[in-house]
Amino acid sequence: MAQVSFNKVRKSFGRTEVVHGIDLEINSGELTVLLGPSGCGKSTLLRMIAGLEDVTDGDIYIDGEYINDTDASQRGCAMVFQNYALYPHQTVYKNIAFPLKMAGKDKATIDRKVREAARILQLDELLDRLPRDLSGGQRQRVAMGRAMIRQPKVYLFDEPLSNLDAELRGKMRLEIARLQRKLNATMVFVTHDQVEAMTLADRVVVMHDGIIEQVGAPLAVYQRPTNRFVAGFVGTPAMNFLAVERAELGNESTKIILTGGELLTLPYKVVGEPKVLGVRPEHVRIGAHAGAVAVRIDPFELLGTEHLGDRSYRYFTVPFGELTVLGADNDAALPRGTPAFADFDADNVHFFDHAGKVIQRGQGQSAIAGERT
Amino acid sequence: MPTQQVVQDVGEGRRLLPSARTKKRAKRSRLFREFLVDLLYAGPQYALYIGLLVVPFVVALPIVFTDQIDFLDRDIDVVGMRNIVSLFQEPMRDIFFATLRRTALFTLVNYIMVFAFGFLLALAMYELSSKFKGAFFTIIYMPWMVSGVGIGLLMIMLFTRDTGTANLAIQALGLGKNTFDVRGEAASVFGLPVIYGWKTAGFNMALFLGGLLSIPRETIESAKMDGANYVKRVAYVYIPQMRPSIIIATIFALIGGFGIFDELVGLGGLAGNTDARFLSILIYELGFATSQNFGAKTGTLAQGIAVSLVVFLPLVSVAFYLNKLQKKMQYH
Amino acid sequence: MERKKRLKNLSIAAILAFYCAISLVPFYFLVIRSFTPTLKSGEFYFWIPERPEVQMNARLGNLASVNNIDITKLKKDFGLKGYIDPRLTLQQLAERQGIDAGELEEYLRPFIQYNGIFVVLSNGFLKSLWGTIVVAGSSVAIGGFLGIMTGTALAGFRRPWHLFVYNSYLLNMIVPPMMVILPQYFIVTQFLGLQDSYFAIVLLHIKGGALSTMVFTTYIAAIPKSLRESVAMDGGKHYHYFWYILLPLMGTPFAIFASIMMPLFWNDLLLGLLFLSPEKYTLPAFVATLGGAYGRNFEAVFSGVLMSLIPILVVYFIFQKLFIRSAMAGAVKG
Repeated sequence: MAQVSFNKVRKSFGRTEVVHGIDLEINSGELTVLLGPSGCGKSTLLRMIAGLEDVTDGDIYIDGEYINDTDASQRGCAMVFQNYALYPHQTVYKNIAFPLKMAGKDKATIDRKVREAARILQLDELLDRLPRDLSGGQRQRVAMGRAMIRQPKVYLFDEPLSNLDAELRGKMRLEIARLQRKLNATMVFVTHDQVEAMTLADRVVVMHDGIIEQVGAPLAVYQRPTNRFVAGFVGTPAMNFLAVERAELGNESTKIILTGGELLTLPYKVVGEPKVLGVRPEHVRIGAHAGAVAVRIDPFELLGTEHLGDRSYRYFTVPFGELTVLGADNDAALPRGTPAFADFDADNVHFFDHAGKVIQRGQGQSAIAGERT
Repeated sequence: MPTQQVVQDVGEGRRLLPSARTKKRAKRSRLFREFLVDLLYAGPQYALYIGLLVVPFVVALPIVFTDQIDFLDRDIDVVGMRNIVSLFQEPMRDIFFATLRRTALFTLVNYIMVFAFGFLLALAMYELSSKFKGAFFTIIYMPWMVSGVGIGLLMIMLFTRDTGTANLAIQALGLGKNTFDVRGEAASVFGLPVIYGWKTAGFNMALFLGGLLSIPRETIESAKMDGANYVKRVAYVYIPQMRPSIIIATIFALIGGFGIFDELVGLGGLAGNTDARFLSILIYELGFATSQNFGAKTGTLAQGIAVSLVVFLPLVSVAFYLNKLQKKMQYH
Repeated sequence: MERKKRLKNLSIAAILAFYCAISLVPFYFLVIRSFTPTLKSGEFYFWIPERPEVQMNARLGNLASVNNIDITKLKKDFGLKGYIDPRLTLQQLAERQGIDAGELEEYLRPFIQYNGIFVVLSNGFLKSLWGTIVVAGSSVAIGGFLGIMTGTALAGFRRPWHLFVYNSYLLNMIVPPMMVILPQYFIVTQFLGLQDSYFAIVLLHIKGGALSTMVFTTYIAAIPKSLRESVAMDGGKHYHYFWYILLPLMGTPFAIFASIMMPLFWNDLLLGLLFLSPEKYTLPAFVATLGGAYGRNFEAVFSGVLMSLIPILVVYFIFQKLFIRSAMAGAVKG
């Protein structure tokens, strides 16, 4: 158990800076997920904790100790690599035992610990196999075993599930979460897959272009994104973004004029200059009858419907842009030419200013306005 | 967020904030450690390389400006460029030019043999699809295992007057007596390259085959669709795309041709066969003749170094240039 | 179309088979000549001729000069003392010295019947063979090990100087040995004091390192970087990585390196000739002296060539697949 602190950490490869001054605290005993699109610097950040990349500028501390120039082998971190990095000529047993061998432990201790780890990870039967004779999931578990055997201060995961098929990935997610609770360990997990982030994380760190966009609990990040990038990146399908022409502030309400001239009246004040309105597919409905916060959308066009079994998404072109909507409403209920309405859930509408920052939220989220960006 | 704040405070409290100087020193010491590790691994081999290839060169180079007779000579005077000049004057001139001419001729014929054996075999192997391919390769590559001395002695076995197996076989067939003669300049300048070509056939074939295999199949197929016949395909599709291999073969042929030594020893180059005296033999004689008693000394050690400089420095420059060219020409 | 293709294939195969047959001819006659008595060198034999019998009327001097019979040893083995006239025939020798003619004939028979092999063996072939095995073997082993070390440091060219070092090895490939042999001799004998030493040859064999560096650096660079990183994460140092992970994975590149360099080390004449005294000569130098000193005993000379060729050919045939693959791999990489 340990905590990792970043102080204005920068990283350049040659002249290109890929990490621009990161400040971050990774809490002890938590599973922190670094989430972001590829090339956002999340892996680099992880590898800097590990000591596999040198830090161009700024400090990294593990448990308060300055470790910028400490050798990777001395940092007390363990890592699970994307390709698992199992030693191809060593059996599962030897792979798992390797860190203990490096630490100079005696044979009996090694044997006891390896068998214990193998039992936890259900690898008992496979100890004599070579990595090439294992399935992807088994390799993954061996890599986990090798990481946990030394009881490291920090576990580092570099997209460890991305080489697995969907079913196995789900299983391994649960496994890692279970393990984390069991070991009560500090874990840093890098992924570009938001499902992994949402399901695994105690805290999510959303990164983009070498900076941190938002830090928070998974649900908080989902429900209360602090900027347009996070709002758009987290959630599938992505949040709907509609361009705002202007906003007219009333007493207890705000009139929003969308680019097509459509009018939307919200029952609360929106302070500032909203340029974009964001709403998730599940917070907007389309129907023949106007609700409380509704906009007329005819003429509209249904571009397509995605049936996912438990739910469906419909994609529309409307006068003020495009809309993705959750729900498989009967399309026949909306015959062409009849009036149709998009009905917004006023509590879950987000506004962003010209820089993409959230400026003021609907009443549902007003409490967390101070969250870091 | 309140929770986060608390943690941060705890963190600040526990941190040992290093000064900028400490950080700088830590970084420098890490970089130095990394360098030392690299040095530990790359160092031994490189030390040998420098010590036994670069340093000898630098140490011995000045000898060319002295009158040092051999390695035991302690009475050394500086004579300037005299050694180099002496190569172009009597009495060295005749010997030097004769060996140079032989060596150059040999290298040229050998270069032709590289293609006559290596390239044609590679083409045949490339077009062939047969389960015997491996066996063919094994046999063609086999002479590569024969030592250079062995090659020279094989020539003696085959082509000596009156006792050479090839001569005797031709005689037994009634086609002539003593068709070949292993003595004489023709043997070392024209005969040896053929036998040397036989020895290196497998090696050169592999070299060219490597080049052929790197040609994208589509370019050949599209040339076929365009109606190019085989000769045209070889000339306009194969060879241009094989240029790196051809250049490498050229470098090897140049270096190998001018450096040929072992085969000549087999032919008696150190035992009085003056027709087998090529540059390498001459250098060897000049450098070591007195210390190892190989016949009369024709000149001095300093002259030997002068010969190697005059001949090999231009050669190495050409090889170096060709190597650069080859790197540039790689398409794939 | 299909028939035309098959015909083409067949004719190529025929041409190659023909070449292979011709290519084997020198080997074939090398064997024949290794068993053809020198006195019958002027006759053509398509097959190994009948073993010659000991001619009791042959003169001792002739046996010594043509067949290289060791008279001193003969005298010792029969307990003979004093001067022996080389003009004596064997019959006369037996009569004068009072030895049983049959015994003398029995004694000389193997020397006469397999003269080449016996001459080669009695002149220190086995010692020479052993020396060559030591030199070539340690050159491959040490050279390979150093090459792996170099590759470990240089793989991936993480620093600019890595590339510089790598490229500078190229020089070794284009510098002809003859150009630097004089200075090298100077350094190794005068400076390092390595006279008449196998070690000198090994050093000069492994000094270049161009090929080993090329092979191992390329191969190690292809090993996933994460293995090295993983060792670091597991608390291992660079030597742990080198010893436990890298070395066990170096089988293939080492085989490539060894199969390319082994014939070159095995057959190297110049260094053996230069750095060793005749008693310690490696095989090529040994064979060269056979050709010089026993130039008249063709049977012995050709036996020497054959016998020094057989060990490397055996290695070649055992690992032929590897040799071919290495030749191709080297060729593709350039």
